[in-house]
Amino acid sequence: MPDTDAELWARGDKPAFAALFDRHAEAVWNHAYRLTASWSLAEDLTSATFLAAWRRRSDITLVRDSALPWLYTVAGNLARTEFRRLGRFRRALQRIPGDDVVPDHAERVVASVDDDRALRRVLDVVASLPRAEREAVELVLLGELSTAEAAEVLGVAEVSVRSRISRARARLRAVEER
Amino acid sequence: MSEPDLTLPDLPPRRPMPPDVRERLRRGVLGTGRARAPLAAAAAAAAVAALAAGGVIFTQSVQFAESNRHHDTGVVGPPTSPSVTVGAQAAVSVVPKATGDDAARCGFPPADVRFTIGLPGRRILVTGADRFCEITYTSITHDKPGIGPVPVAGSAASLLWSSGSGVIVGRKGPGTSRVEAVTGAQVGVVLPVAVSEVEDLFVIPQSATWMVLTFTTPSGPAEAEISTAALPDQASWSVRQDAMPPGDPAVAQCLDESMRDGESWVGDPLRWRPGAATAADVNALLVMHDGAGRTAYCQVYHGRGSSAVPEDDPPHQGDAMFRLRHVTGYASDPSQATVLLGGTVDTTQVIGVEVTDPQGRTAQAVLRDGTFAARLDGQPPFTARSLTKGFVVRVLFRQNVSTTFTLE
Repeated sequence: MPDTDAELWARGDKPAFAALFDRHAEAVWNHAYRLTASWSLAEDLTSATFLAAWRRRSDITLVRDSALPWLYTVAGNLARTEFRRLGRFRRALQRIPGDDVVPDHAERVVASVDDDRALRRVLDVVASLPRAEREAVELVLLGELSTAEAAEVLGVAEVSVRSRISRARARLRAVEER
Repeated sequence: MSEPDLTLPDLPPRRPMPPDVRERLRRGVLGTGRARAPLAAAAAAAAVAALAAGGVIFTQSVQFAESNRHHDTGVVGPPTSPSVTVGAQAAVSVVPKATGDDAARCGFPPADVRFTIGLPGRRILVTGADRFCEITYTSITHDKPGIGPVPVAGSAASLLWSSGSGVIVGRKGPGTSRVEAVTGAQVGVVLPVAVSEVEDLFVIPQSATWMVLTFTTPSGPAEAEISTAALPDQASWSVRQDAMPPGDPAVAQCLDESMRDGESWVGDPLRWRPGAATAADVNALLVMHDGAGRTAYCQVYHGRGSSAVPEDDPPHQGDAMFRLRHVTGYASDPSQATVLLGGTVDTTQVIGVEVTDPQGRTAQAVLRDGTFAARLDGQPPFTARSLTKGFVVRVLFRQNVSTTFTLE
């Protein structure tokens, strides 16, 4: 019987980490795409997520014996915080203008054609949500974790996750209807 | 209709990971590819260099070393990455007063400058009256007087300035002996943020949008949650002006961003020149060269350069006449992608390069100063293949001679 994530995590050696990587790389990579709307960035974010996992392995208690909820959370944090500040993130998100860029009409037209439209629109709105709601949306709606898994990794009650998702949906719907 | 259909339309289905992507990730994460210098060693080297250079009031944050101490002993793990600890690559150095003509560039009387904080790609001058000025390769940013310190954690500290490039400078309160910062979710995921203490001040070289600061005070630790969105915005806190160096502005912006990201390959930025670039568009690929055989690749977005990358590691594809050194791309809509290619050519002999994708569409590469750049739109999604697999490159020489390569 293969080792569980928790057993591999507890071993903490490189072969164990490689096994965890092989087990979850594809899921994290897909989640990273949903966080970034860029496959090339998803690759970078996946790499950074696993490196962060390795570095923090002794500090983490796994949720429900699966490393995936925590890996999703790391990916979300990296995407929101320092990864965004690094050039690799900026390069990949270049179609989202910075505050100091005011594209003209022609650029807007090209950009609109050039975007991964649906996902970027979603991410734009998700990024505007309050932090608690955004974390819940990223884990449950984008990451497809259960509300129970999200609750454990966020350290809140499951009902709180459900209410955050509900509020977030209302906000998203309001934005869509504008 | 279900609520998810209303709120999150058209989420892409999960896809199997192509073998080449898995292999690249494995190499990067598990360390089977090129070696990277351990970050702790790099930080230590930077600290030693700062001290050797005469830094007199330098206190490197201890949290980074502590957070890694138990990881850096025992088993050999995967390589470390600068993206793990926020701002860990941004070793801080401090020198008294201002260096060179920095005081004049900032408009400060030299005698007023208390010290200069050195960070990757930028310097921050601090006056005795808590005025601040950040100098980067392309800009000078001043604080606006009168905004005032923002108190945090009661009297444990205050935030004095947030520069336009993400640096936060604060002051420790009386008796506060240590400052730590983390970012991450509330439970389980704690990513340390590098903090350096400079006399009574503390510097966060690369602030996160949300952080928890912990101050060690005589009465115990005091915590403060900091959201940059709740701080004064940049227009209120700072005045930024361009200060472009000589040469191509897009190259300068690319190098500025790269240096601020801590990219050491830049070296002397004045060596870099523009090479080939794809046609002006929302996105364009700009190839840069240093005149000594090195190339770097920068995406220019809405006319502004972003952080660049040096040429990819060998093996490159091609030969002495044409060498593909950089491939990147981005997903456009779910059924399309764009691939950007860059590299070097021997322009004494090569007069043209054509790239034909597997669908039969041909793009002419732009050639300049021994470099080329090409853009291919309308490509299939990246996930099903290598970015360039099946591309055919035709290299044209004088006298109607050509050779072709099929890329992997």
